[in-house]
Amino acid sequence: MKDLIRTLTVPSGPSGDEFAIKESILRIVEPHVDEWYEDVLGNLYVIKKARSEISEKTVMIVAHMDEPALSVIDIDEDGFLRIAPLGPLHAASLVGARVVFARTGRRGVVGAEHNVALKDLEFSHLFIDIGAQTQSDAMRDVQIGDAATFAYGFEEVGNQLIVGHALDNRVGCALLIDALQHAQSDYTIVGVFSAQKEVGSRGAKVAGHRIHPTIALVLDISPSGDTPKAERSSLTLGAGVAVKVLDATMVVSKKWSNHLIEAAKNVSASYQIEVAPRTTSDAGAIFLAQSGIPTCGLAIPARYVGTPSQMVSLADVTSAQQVLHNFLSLLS
Amino acid sequence: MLLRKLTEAFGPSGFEDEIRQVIYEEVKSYGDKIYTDALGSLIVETNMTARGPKILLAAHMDEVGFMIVDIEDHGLLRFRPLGGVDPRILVSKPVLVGKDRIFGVIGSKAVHLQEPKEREQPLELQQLYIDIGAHSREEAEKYIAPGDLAVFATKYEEIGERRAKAKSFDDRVGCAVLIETMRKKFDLPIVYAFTVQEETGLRGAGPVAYRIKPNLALVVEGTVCFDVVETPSHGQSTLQGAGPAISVVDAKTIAHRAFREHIVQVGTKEGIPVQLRRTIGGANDVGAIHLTEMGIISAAISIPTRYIHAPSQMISLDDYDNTVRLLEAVLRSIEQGGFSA
Repeated sequence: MKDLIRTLTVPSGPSGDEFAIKESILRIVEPHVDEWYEDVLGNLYVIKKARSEISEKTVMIVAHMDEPALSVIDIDEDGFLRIAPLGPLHAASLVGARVVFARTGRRGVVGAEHNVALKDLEFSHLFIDIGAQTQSDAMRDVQIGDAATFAYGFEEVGNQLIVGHALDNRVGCALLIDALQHAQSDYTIVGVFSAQKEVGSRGAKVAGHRIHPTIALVLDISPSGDTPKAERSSLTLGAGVAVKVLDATMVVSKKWSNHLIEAAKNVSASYQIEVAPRTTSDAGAIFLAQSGIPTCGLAIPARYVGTPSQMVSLADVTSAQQVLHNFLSLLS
Repeated sequence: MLLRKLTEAFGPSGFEDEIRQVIYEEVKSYGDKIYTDALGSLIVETNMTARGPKILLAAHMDEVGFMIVDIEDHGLLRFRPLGGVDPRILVSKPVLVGKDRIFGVIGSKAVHLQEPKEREQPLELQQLYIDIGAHSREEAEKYIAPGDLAVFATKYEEIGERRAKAKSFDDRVGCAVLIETMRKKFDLPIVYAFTVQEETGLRGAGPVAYRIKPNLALVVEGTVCFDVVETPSHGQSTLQGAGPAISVVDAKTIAHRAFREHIVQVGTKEGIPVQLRRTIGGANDVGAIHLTEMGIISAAISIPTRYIHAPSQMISLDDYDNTVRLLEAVLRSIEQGGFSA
């Protein structure tokens, strides 16, 4: 799993421009699925038929593949790019960040106007420097509407901890890929690598409508509360996968959270409960689609979400993997 | 004159009866099927048996306005905005109130009477009222009841070099573009929708998209423009007179890349000036349309509008003409198979 996650953190996947990460995912999963297609919003759907032909039931597993990004809104005469955020990013935390443009691979650094105090910094004070001399020079590689994401490597820290700029939510993507490769189920599995989650779960909304599955399961990152003076959270790194009970977008029916807890007990995996009233996920957009869709979720706790250095425990990933496989095998 | 007729009509969000009737009179001889949906949007279906992608063209007919919520003992009217209005721009503005469109003025304490501290603070909504010249609650109640509506009283006028000012270019200018487009003949199934309640949260457009299920949707809007003194390029959003603005990203939509690039290419090929909308602020009906059902390929073409959501909005008539030209050129390109859904 570690190598898969590492591979998935390399491609850039700005909300609304997910083609690079999508292509990487497709290359890995294509041999393991029966069918795949894309939609207008940019979602990637992959279908793995049920092990028996009897069941017409479907489980839709959703992992968003996008990440917060910086959208270019203006290019000045000296070739500096003015930007606005796509998704939850804070202006002050971006100064000095290294970024890469998804479309062309052009790299750059985020700079700030000099006369603004750090605490007063807004996006209108920031720009990306791609080393261009003039507007026309810059426009060879970057156009208005192009988006850049963080460009940092993947590292292992301490024991069983990994750090990367897009673990939210390439960890979820890796778990979904693993399930498509290895899990068995009497339900047809529709894997959705969803687009545009960071700007409001727009991909998930249309995916829920299109698939209208028997049951949906969302794989995502959820911020932990185990660092000095962290925001209150029930989640701890290394204590196992988190079974979603509540987030900002939905309350999970007990029936389905209990199924996941049962699955954890079946495989003796450690687990914790996600009660995260300020954390968003694709779950809320899915369960309100059409006539309503039973929706549940597994979350991987992470530190430093929204920064270039998100930290996740590999032990939690393993526990998620086991729980997901068992959950899928018991659907009947 | 179409722009005058449309901008001077009354139609705050949720109360679009008058503007809908005005538009209906303009379009009634062009549609094969014309009807109003449950929320009040006016829908005009044309050429629905033609081959080619089904296209939804939408413009919202509602405007920002006010609702009277209370009448004070001395006959002054308390009000709340419908849609996003900056309270700082309201003081001393003339308005038309109620079904008889009686004249009123948004009043407040004269500068002479204000304490020095008061002069430094912008007035809040709670400090403002509409004065219709009534001297008592009883007299005001003869003309107005809570729940009545008000809009800015601005008249349409052409000013300067090819500019015009009016109260509701957002989005009567889009309605005008649609009406002009309808008078041309396209070998495509096109549904024109004049939507309601855009200003209160893109409420009318979603049900229209759900009903029509188009292959492609195009929204024509009046959008923000602040190309004035001392505004840096990245704060302007759009330039007046530089042609229709194509949306890239806004608060509710990341535009469909291939479709927006196609529109720019068509403009370039036909020699029509186009610009990209350079801000992520604001939103329009595309936000609701593109997420309908399984997702709909959509784009927004906007006329830069200075002083939007305020009494005297300003557009360039060249931008208007070029938007009409661009929309026709885009539809012709689709007609010829130049862009498929």
